[in-house]
Amino acid sequence: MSEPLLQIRNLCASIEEGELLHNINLEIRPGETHVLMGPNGAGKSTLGNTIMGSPVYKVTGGSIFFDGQDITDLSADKRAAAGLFMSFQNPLEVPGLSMESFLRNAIRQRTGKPIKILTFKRELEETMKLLQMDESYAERDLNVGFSGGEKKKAEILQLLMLRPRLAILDETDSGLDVDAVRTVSMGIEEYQKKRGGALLVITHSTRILDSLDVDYTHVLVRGQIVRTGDASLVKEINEGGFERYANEKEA
Amino acid sequence: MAQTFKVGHLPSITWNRLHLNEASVETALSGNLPGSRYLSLPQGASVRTLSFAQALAELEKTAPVQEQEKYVAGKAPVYHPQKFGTGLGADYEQAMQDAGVPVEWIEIGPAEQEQTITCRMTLQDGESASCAQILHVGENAQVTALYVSESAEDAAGVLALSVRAVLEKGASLKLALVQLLGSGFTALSDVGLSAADGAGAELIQMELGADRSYVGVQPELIGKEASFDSAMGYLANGEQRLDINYNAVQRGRQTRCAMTFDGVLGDRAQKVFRGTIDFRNGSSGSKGEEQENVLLLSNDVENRTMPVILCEEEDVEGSHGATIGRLDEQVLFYLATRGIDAAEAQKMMVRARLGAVARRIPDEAARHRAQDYIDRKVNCDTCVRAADCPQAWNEKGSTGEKS
Repeated sequence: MSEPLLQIRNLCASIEEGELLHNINLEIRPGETHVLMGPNGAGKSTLGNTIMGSPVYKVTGGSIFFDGQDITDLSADKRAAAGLFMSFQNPLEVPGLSMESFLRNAIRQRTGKPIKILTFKRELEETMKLLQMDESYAERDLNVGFSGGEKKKAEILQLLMLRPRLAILDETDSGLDVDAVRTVSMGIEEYQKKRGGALLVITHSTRILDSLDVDYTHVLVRGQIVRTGDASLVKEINEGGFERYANEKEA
Repeated sequence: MAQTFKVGHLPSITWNRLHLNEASVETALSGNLPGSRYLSLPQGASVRTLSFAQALAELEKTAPVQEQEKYVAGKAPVYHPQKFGTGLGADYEQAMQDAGVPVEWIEIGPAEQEQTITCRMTLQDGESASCAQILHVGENAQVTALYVSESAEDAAGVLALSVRAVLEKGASLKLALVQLLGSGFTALSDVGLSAADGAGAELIQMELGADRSYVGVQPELIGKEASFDSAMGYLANGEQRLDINYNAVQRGRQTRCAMTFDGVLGDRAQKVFRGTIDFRNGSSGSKGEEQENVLLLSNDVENRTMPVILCEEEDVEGSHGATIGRLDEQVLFYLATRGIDAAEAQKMMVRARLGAVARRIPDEAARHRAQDYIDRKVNCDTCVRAADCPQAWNEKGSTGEKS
């Protein structure tokens, strides 16, 4: 078995009002797909944001290792440079910054190398085509005036263009219609299968998982992972909901 | 010889101790046109050169007739004796008149296609120059007018600009003013326009350079359903001083005015912004809005914002808003998750904020010059420039050929 890409040990995270994550332990190996499920307010997004280095959450205990390096105290940009990525539940609008310019800057920042414009443009065009995005979106201001679906597609576009080693997808399927879920899923599948990326998929529903090969499923309740299982756990949750896990203690 | 005069009067004065009622300028205006100036007029346009006094007298005859202005207590009568005023005000025009600045009166009638005026001024170090124009845009004519002023980065001097426009019924004017002067310049930029029934003006203004900048804009929406839309972008750092006075006077019924101001202040820059929407008697059914967004990059900047809505009419809608502060932590985090560190994110956001205004400049070469100026000013040596950025102006026009 390969070495873990992401290794979380006894992670505790807080905001001013109190502790939100309690002794989280999680390992993700290269190419694996993990699903994180749980009821509203369980701490799923908090975990994703803490892994990514959000300054909103303070790590009060434990550690996060990525590719053997302790990243617990690293800033988000350094974590991203190391190969982490997070797709936002509510992607931010950035007026004045075109999608294309943003992506070129981000790639340049991450790789530290000059970009071959023609290669970049070709790849961008092909990826947008895969995601059924109109080419004009490349010139438009990042997420400004995009519909909910287009914003989520734009997140997946960034995922595919930036080629991280581990992507956290925070409720990427929320608010999407059936067609949009299908298109976004195609993009995630492309990342998972053709680019060998590892995934931590945070979701309420299971629609987005239909086309993915899930390796592990974790159930998070009140800031603790209370159950870990294989893909069949998704089906179990789908049928029975989260209620049965409400009183379970740490897995 | 240097003289002192007041500019940018607040139409409804406030406490003197706030030092916001107007700005005081100490400079020497010159009657010379810029030594290097490229002026392009549309076919069929005519131009006459008049003295300032002649031009103002002509304006009296041309400007739309309006009722005698009533004196309202507390309001400075800055409009008299002109039919319509300008943003910097009468003292500035008097200073130009005293300096012997000639006025170019440009007549533009309707045409099948949109017509473009380009005035590009390249100033030398130590140069003091002025440029005053009155655009008379005929009924239903559509005109784009672009004014770009630039110099070497560290050059010093004075540029006094005055643009007035009379828009006849149904006329449309897209006016762009782009100031890219060197760090030692004093720049004065004054706009006054009147719009008759159904006429509309759009103003795109970028103030990026100079040491001291004074900007005044006064649209007077006289006719029914006249409109004014403006977008201003400014960037001041170092020890720069910027004084802005926009005063939208809505006189006609169902007029509409929308003004946005996007600025970035860094280091020890100081800025005063006065933004007034003035609903006059007879402006029923009119709407006016203004919004200022200021990004502060340093603790040492001084930002003073004075939004004003004056109202003599009941059936009107006026709104103003301001967002002033540092970069949004959420945006910084979002960019960080893509590998962009805080310093680079700040540069990107400055470019983004001002780029959104620059993109509205109706000329490709001017757009790229403005964007390049911003990049240089924020030391954005890692920013990705547009691959097709034209590096030089086209000899025959302002639109750059792709190099």
